[in-house]
Amino acid sequence: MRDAFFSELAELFVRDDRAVFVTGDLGYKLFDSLVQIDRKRVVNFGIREPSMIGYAAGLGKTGLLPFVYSIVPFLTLRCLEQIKLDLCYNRCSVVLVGVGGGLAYGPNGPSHHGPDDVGTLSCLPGLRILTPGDPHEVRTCIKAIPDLKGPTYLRLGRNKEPELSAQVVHPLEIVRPRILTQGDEGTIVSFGSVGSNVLRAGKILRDQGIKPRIVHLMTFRPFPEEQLLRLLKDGAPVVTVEEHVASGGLGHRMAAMIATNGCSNPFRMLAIPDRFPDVCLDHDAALKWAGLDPKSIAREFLALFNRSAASARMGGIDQIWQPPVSYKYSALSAKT
Amino acid sequence: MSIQTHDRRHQWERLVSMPAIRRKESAVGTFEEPEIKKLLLQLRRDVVHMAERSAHVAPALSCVDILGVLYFYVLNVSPSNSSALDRDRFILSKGHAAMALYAVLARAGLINESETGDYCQVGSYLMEHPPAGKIPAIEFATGSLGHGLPVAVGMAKGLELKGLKARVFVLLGDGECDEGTVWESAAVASGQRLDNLIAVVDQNGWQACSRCCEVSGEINLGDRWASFGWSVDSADGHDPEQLKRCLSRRNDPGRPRVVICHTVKGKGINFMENNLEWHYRPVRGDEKEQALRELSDA
Repeated sequence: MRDAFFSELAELFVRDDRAVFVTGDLGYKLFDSLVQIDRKRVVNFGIREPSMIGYAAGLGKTGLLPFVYSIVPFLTLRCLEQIKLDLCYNRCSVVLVGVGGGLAYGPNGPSHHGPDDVGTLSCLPGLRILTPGDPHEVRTCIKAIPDLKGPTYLRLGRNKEPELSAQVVHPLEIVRPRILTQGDEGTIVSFGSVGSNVLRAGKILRDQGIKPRIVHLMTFRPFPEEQLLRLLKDGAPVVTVEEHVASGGLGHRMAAMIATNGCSNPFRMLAIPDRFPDVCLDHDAALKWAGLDPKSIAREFLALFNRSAASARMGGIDQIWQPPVSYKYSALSAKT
Repeated sequence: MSIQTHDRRHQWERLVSMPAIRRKESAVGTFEEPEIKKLLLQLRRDVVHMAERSAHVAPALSCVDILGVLYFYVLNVSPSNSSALDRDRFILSKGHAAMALYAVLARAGLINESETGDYCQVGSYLMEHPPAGKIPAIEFATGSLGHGLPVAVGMAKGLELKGLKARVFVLLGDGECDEGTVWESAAVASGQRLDNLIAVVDQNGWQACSRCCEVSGEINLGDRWASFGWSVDSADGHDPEQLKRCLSRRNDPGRPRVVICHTVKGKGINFMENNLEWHYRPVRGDEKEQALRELSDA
């Protein structure tokens, strides 16, 4: 996703001289192509992220379109008030580009993880949140951005994410939920790069004869509530999967939507647990720790599916959701 | 009580309905002592009237002279060019001095004067800190300290990238210089050689609960800016002649500039000067009458 971002931004740099790239001293060699196009529009702001947001707001107020680049936690939680006041309250058209959403910076540890960006930023009025899951979606977001007004947060994974689908998304359709796999036995919804694990979970389920619909959101905010509600009309089980903590994330948003609209769909949310990992984990291991690997996702969906089927037969009340199976270091190390 | 309130209200309406003392295009370069003195007194009275409804009268009085000189003699901003691309920009980073800004904008004809009469009334756009989006003359909404300078640095860079000659002025408090973002962005302005940027520090020596030196030590503020690569000027922040000369001066090529203004918190009203209580208290009743007497033209 990172390479797709830089190559697409280079194309934008050529055709739109409003585009300015501002980095918090990160992305060594990645923005060389931008420097070659126009050195003046590339700024290494240094290691001072909160001021970098205000600076971008100032650029935005003179009619430029800054792309502000850093690792997710440094760009979001460290700069929360600047994003709220300088960008949202003052309505600046600035794009925040966070690399490494969720647990993508696995071995770097919690200082570099970004499991809480989307929920936190969702509190801020007027901030658009884009959550592409593959290189094509990243490119589509960059194509859509120059026509959007107001601040945007673009959450990237890290690199080498597989394409989720061969379908082409038009830049005007980034808010529409993407149906990656058709199915009529429940729905799995996700955003961001964890979508590839969801697709693999879908394959596991298919092998067991269950055909869920796989839906991916490349825009978290504005939340495509109407389209999702239409998909939920069948009353079948729904599982949300996010590389993000539950608070303020996709699961909470969907749960609110389901409750508010009186939907009867059995529901389960899979999210990163509310605690810091205390051992070194690469990205895959971190996703496993969080219960977001393909097998865990498939297992959770299956459990919900079977229980709903059983409770439908018995007319009983569904159980209350439990957090994903807790991580056991020994079990994991035995497998890896 | 209600009659008294009505009278005050009436008096205020009459005052703000006076024709604005318009900034003359030709005034840049010329300087009429009696006119500016009269204007600055009027601005102080405007602030006192507004201060009936909010805190922060003392920090507004410490910088109202700076704002008056800026808008009437330095910035190329007038009602006819308030959205021109090449207009100078001003950001009030110490947003709690909004009353001073509103008074100046009203007298300069940049906001509707009747609005200042509604300052801090329920439903008014004129909040205790400069608002976003509703008043074009307010370039940037502030209130939380340490935001103005980073934004001003970005504006200065943006104007440079667009090839525009306009300058960016930003007013900070000395207490505000506690904020790390001030120094983060001061370094960047210097690194990017922004000579279209002027920071003005209202150095009244006080922050909200103490003297600045009690909190941050006896560090010379000018030296701090100089060590960040800025040109440093200083002026008596209540002397219009000095302010005008200092604020109008062109920057050295490739260097941002700071003007340290030595000011008095609560300036112009004897019982408010250097008295922290007036960072907080609205000005009401006899105190208001007494303040206005001290600010009379006579």
